[in-house]
Amino acid sequence: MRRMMKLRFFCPLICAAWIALPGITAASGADALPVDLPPVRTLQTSCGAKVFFVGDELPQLTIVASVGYGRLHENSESAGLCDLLARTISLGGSKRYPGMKLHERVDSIGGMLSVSSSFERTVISLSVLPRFREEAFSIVSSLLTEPNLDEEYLLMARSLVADEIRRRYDNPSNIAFDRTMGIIFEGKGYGAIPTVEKMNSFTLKMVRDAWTKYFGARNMLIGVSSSIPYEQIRKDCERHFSSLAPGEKMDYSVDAASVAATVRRNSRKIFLFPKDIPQATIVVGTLAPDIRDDRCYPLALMNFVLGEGSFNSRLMREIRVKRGMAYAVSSVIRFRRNTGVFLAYAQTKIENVAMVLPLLKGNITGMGRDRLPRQDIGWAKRSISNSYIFRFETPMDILGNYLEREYCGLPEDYYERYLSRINDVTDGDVMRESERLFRGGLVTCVVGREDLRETLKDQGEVVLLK
Amino acid sequence: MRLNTVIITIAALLCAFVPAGADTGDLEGYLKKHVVTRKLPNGITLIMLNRGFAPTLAFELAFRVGSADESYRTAGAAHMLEHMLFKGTDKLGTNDYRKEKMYLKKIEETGERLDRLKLTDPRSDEIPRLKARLKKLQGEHSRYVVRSPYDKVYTENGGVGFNASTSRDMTGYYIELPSSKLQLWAEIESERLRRPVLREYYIERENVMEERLMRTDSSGIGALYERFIATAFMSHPYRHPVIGWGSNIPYLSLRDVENFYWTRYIPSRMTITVVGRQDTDRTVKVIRKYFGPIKSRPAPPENTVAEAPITGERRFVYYFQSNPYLLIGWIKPAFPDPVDYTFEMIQEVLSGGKSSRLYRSLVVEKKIASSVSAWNGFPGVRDKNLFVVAATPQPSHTLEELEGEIYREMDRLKEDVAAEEMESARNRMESRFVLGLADNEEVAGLLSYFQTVYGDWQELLRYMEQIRRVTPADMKAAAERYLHDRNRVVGMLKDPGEGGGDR
Repeated sequence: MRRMMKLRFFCPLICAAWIALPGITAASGADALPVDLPPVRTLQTSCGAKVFFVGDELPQLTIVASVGYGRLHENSESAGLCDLLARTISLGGSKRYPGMKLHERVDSIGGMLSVSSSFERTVISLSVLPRFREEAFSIVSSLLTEPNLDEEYLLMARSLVADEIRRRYDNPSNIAFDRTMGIIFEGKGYGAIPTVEKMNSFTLKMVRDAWTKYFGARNMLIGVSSSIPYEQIRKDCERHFSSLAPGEKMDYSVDAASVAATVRRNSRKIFLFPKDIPQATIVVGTLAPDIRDDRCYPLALMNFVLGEGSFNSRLMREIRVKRGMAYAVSSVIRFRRNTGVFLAYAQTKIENVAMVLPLLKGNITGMGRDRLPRQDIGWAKRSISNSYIFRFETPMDILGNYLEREYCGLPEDYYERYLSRINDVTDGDVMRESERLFRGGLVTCVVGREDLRETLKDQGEVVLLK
Repeated sequence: MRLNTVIITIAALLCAFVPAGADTGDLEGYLKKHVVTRKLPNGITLIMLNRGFAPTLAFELAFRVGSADESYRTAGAAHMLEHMLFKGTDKLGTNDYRKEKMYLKKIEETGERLDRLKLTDPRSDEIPRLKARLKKLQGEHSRYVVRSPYDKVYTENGGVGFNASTSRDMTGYYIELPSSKLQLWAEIESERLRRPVLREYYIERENVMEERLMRTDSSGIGALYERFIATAFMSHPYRHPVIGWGSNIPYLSLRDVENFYWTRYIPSRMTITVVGRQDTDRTVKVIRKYFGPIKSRPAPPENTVAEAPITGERRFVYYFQSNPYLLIGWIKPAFPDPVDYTFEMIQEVLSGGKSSRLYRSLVVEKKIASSVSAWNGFPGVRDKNLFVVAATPQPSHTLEELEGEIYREMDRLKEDVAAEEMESARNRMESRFVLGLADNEEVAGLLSYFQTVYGDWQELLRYMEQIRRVTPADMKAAAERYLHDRNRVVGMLKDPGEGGGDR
């Protein structure tokens, strides 16, 4: 079957998800077709929840409630609480649709329900055929207003999330990324890594408190994509989402100075997590600016040339294509509302680690040392510009962009101006901002056999992780 | 078979032009009306669908060639070839092919000699000399190489998702581009097929070994699946891992890979699929112009090694530092046998949603599993295959306990399946047919898959029709005939450091 047993030529370990999307740019070329994007309507319910609506030709209804609560709001004491809350809601349902009744109902109407948390948000989404509109609004609003957070479902959720945490660490790349971010961000936000022990200590009161704190209308964005006319959706939203508790807009903060000092302090060390497997995973990383910072534009170009631009990016070319030393090698830079992160990685057989690590680091620091050749920066700009249209391919893409813009507090013309901001970047900007980004060094984490301790000692102080 | 997940995804998209309130019947009509197919004189099949509001196109170029077409000697060749087709042609990927060609010949001679010696006389003094010579030749050759040539052209023309994949049944090459780049795509891809140059082969082979280390040798679950399939299939080539055996890849011959290309990648096994905003008449013209000149070649013989009937349970335990994992499979006929559709329904009843039998019973009620899923048509669909249940136990339970509970649920299929349960499963499948909204790429992938593997994209339309015909009696009969211990393969992943799963 298609979803199984298929090997891909290129398989990134982490997805460098784009957040931003541009304005209404047609495809390049003389025979480019006009782009006819559907408009987005907005409304605010009486309790303060903001709703975005985009029409869809497809006969369907998708409701997305995006709550400002995720791993970035947590620290080492609370890491994973957002996952537990999402799972408890998913299992327990609501007062109106408790437990298995929720899933029986969703399954019987052929709905697709998802409750999940990520770095910045906890999202409830439900897709149904239009004829189940009434029931879909009822299910989503009841999950938002009266979730069935009781002991039985908490215990079940805790057990399942704890097992996921255990299993997550069967994969060496998960260990390497988590440990790297844990060190960079001092166990907070991006570095808040859930553990089984901590998960098992979370109580029902903590889960309920988290829900009360974060699930208010002012801390929530609602998106609707549907073939149903806007007027009907507006009435449904007023009816179903006006009884949400107003709550407060919740934010998270990152002490950038402290994080930068931590990166500097650890940049000469190599953190080794021992695992007896024939291939090592190397991850390096540092703090990046937030999405509203103008440095994002040169750094986006830098990252494209360095490790995101597929096979012609420097890391891929130097480590995989030229030397045959890794199948998976790439870099990602992610800009979020109040913070950002840069990570680069390579997976290579144990015997190659001593060569791959300096190659990885050398190419990264080279971005701040040498001016980008004109052809490289031109290639990156053309690639970003010409593929911009793919960020607006479907109504859900468009809706996602609006939600992102609102959540991150981006200017109204953010997407319209994105490409011109990219095109204004000079090679000097890229070099200057890269140098600034990597000036404090990089945190390095290696997952692989313990004898790497000896192999790596010439490249830094090796610190064994437990 | 196949879809459930897959199909489902597609149709939704297709209905991008279907009026609100449409049902799956409308969708089927929509597809029949709007999907355009053409057959080129050389045997290439072309499928097109004009849709969407954005001026973009998804392209898929697929061959009915996979690891099922390999022998022991060539295990891994289909996948290796997929990697090598990113290396360019005699025009793209080189700055002087005339000079480069001499090096290619010398590199191949040295590499082949080195491989054979490593196998036959690993202590030979000649090996270090050959290694040094190969390295020197590779260094000199690199002066004439322009690396990753397609990638650069595609990315700067707005291409996204440039990739390829190999399965047991087929191989596909994909990209999405702005609609205005149709001709560019056709020009590049037709050249790629007509004049491929498999340069830097020995370097790429190292990358494939790294890929294997990542997917299989450093992953308990990856290695479990490899052993599970090899246990289930004793003679059929499905037993070969798509990536190849760890002991085979380092000696996989360039000559064999080239030969695999010229004998297997023939026009009659090829499908081109283009989905997105387009003038299909123009697309036909462009495709004919560039792909028409590819010469047809005779079809290679089909695999004649059939899998012998299973006559008793096969069982193994794989030990690796990992959390426990359970795989159970039952051997069954493949499409077009009608029982294949019955197993699609069984899959839906067992694990089609959170209220389905396995999740409800094992995860929610008995709390013995932390995850469970079932699927039909593993590891390929061109030949006899497996119906599989995969599950993970909760920490306080063993794999053996979990296995027992799964059999209890499978036995329930031999009792009656209630009409309401069947109806609910059908509703979910039909609804997902619409709701699994996909983009151009997914639609292209699905049409391409059905055409390439089943020989006709319209099998996609017949799917729901066949599903509607499945009765409780069919499910009971299929369960009785196939879901029993003499027809079963069981694989367990246990951590030797955790008491071997007896926790």
